[in-house]
Amino acid sequence: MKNRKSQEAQTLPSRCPDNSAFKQQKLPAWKPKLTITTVLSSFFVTGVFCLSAGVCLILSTNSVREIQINYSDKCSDCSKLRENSSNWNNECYCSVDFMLKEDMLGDVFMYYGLQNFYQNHRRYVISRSDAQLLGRDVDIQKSYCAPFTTYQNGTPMAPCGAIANSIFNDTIDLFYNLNSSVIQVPLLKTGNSWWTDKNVKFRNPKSYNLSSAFAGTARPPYWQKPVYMLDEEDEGNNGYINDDFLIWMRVSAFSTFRNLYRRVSRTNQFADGLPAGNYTFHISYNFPVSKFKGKKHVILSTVVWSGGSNPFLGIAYTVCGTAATLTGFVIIAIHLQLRKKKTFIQK
Amino acid sequence: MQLLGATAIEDKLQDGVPETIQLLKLGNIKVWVLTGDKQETAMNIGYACKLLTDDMEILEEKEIRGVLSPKDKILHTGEVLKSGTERLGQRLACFKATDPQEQGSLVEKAFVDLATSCQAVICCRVTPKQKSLIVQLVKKHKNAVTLAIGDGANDVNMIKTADIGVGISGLEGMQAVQCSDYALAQFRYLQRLLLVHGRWAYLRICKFLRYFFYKTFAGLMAQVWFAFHSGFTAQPLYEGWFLALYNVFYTAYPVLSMGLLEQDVSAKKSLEFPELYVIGQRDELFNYRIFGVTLLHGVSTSLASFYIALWAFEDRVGSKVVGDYESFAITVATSSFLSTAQHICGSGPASSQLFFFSPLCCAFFLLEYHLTVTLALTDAGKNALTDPYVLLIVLLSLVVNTIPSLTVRLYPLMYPISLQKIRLKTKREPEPSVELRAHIRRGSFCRRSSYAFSHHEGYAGLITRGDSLRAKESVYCPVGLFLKKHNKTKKL
Repeated sequence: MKNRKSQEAQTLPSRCPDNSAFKQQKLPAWKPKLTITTVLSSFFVTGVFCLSAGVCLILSTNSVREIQINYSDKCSDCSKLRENSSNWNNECYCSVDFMLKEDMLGDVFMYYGLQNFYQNHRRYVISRSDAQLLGRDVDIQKSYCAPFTTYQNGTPMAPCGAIANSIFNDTIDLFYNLNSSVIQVPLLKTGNSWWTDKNVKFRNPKSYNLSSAFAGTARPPYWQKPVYMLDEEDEGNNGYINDDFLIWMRVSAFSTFRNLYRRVSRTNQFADGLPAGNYTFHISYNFPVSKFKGKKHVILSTVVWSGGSNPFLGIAYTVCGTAATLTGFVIIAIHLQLRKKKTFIQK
Repeated sequence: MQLLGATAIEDKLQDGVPETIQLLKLGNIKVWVLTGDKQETAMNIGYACKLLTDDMEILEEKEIRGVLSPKDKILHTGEVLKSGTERLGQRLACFKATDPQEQGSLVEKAFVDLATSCQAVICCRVTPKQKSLIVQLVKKHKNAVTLAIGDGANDVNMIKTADIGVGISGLEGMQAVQCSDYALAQFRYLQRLLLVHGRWAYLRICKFLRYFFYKTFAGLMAQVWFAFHSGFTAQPLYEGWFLALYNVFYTAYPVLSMGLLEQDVSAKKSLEFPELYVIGQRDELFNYRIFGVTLLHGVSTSLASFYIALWAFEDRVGSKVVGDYESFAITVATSSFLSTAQHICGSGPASSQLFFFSPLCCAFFLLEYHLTVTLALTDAGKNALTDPYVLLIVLLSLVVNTIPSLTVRLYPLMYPISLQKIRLKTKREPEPSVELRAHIRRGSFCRRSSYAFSHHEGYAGLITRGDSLRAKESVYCPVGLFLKKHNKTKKL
């Protein structure tokens, strides 16, 4: 009986799967073996690493000097003026004084901060035409820029979209009061954006000069100047590749954010940074925020390798490190107690 | 008269049947035999394949009728049975299958209760239709999964009715194989089908489901938390390609390899410890509790990844990375993806090291590569992932997401109660082995053979009594008498 069966099996085509490791489910397997020693050592290593990283971060954060001034509250008459949009043509200036108690040594960056401005709104984020910003001749009606695409007479907007339309247009100047004289702090307005933004992602349309390149287009409704007049002194900072414009187009993830505005140029008496003393901001107030209960700030800060003055990460690492180390000790204690119990029972 | 000879037809049992049945019984699988043979044959086969043992009490048809038929005692029957089984421990029912059709459903339930409280059930003289009716009966009254295995055309009905139908291909033809869910060549392969492949399949499906839910929650719930901060405008946090490829490519490989290749114990050990099969019967690997735990774990992972990045980014002043949308998206995506991948690869399948490391590597490479190619995120990926601050954020999320689950997994290490050790302990104890007793007892050899006689016991009693012989001379000599005499002297 058996012989007949095996003979039949040999003559018939065999449906046996191959004797390979994969098909016989005998693949070489490796499972990380969790023993007490490996787990405990990993706990302690993690704890020590986190503690040291946390301490480093806290130390570096403490070395950052920062000052933040809310000027939309301080410039209340300007903000009231801007609540009425028919005053768009009226200029409004505001001065804010402050004092630096300590020197700000190193590179000092000036930021403008907005609060309660949702740049991460879905329809806002999508409202741009990347093709147009590359300088190509595209039909912006097909993009997501609506309703900021064309005027009623058919002239297209350059640049189109809600992001571009709502660009931050305050002008902030910094003055240093030395004894009785007032010195304007030299600020750099280029070199603040990403290299890829300036050279790859945004390109001006090609023509013999910039104003003819944008012929046939008009400025967006909230802008005072057309796009080719954003910075008439510097050709490399005009048009779509203007640094302020680029920084604004890189939308923020949160409703409270800050964007780099200017850098302090390290020349003359500001070679080491900003010395301590009295300073004044002269602000040309254009950007209205009071209608949506927003706030505007100006921030001066130095920068370290780990970023800025946000202490969260350092504290979090320290807490994590202590938690991991404590857990390690607790596990050791429990393990020793259990071992004592086991030996006691076995005896 | 002169005895010329004796004929016998042998329907031999296949190899390995008794061992298979033993293993199945150890795995808490109740074995019933439904056969068309007559009662004597069926009982002999039961003894031959060790389904029945000598120390079992056998309930035959009359006893069962007596238990089931008084209709006013049906509700008591269940309690009697329960106390009865505790008392005696082992019973067997051999029952003619005509009855369940005729009685009402209460009696059906009583019958099923009685039958399932017994160690083994043999139904004899069963027609094919009755086989399927018995399977239906068990399915209706018991919340159990039924498997029917047979090799002939008369088994087709029950194979089709049962939850799992197994056909044995062989000399009786291919009808059983053609209508079955699984086809085997011999009965003894059933032990591998159930205890190895069935158990592994259950384990793999449960683990796959757990990790699939976990990776979905852990990776993509961050978008829900982002909605709280984007004014609920449904702005997605992750970039479109990341979302599209997350399930298809980045997390597919580890989870799939778990669903295809996971083995908790090797095949050999699965056959040595059939008690491991009980885990599937009790739904221990995927139930509401485990789903809830997975959900909570995934949600907490996503919360940690999102909020650590949020609080670290808040108002962040930096020279390279600013708090812009794309960098934030990349940070959260990287931290949640890495936490998920680490959890699956590290605590999941016992796969080879190749499977362990390669999905992470290629997922990461592709993440970087496609991000730099996509215009919308030009340079944001490279910029963000080379900033030390962002890397520290990602590392912290990884640590925060790993340490608690590592602590939880440490618990069984400190109280080492592995399933294997329990089984080894129980194996070493001397079980009340049925086999030992059977060897000691003598005089019951004839009952343990699978040979049955095609004739009933003859009229030898009448003859030896001498009543009819004295009446007249008769040439009639019952053949049964001779065979029986020979039987007593033979040792089988």
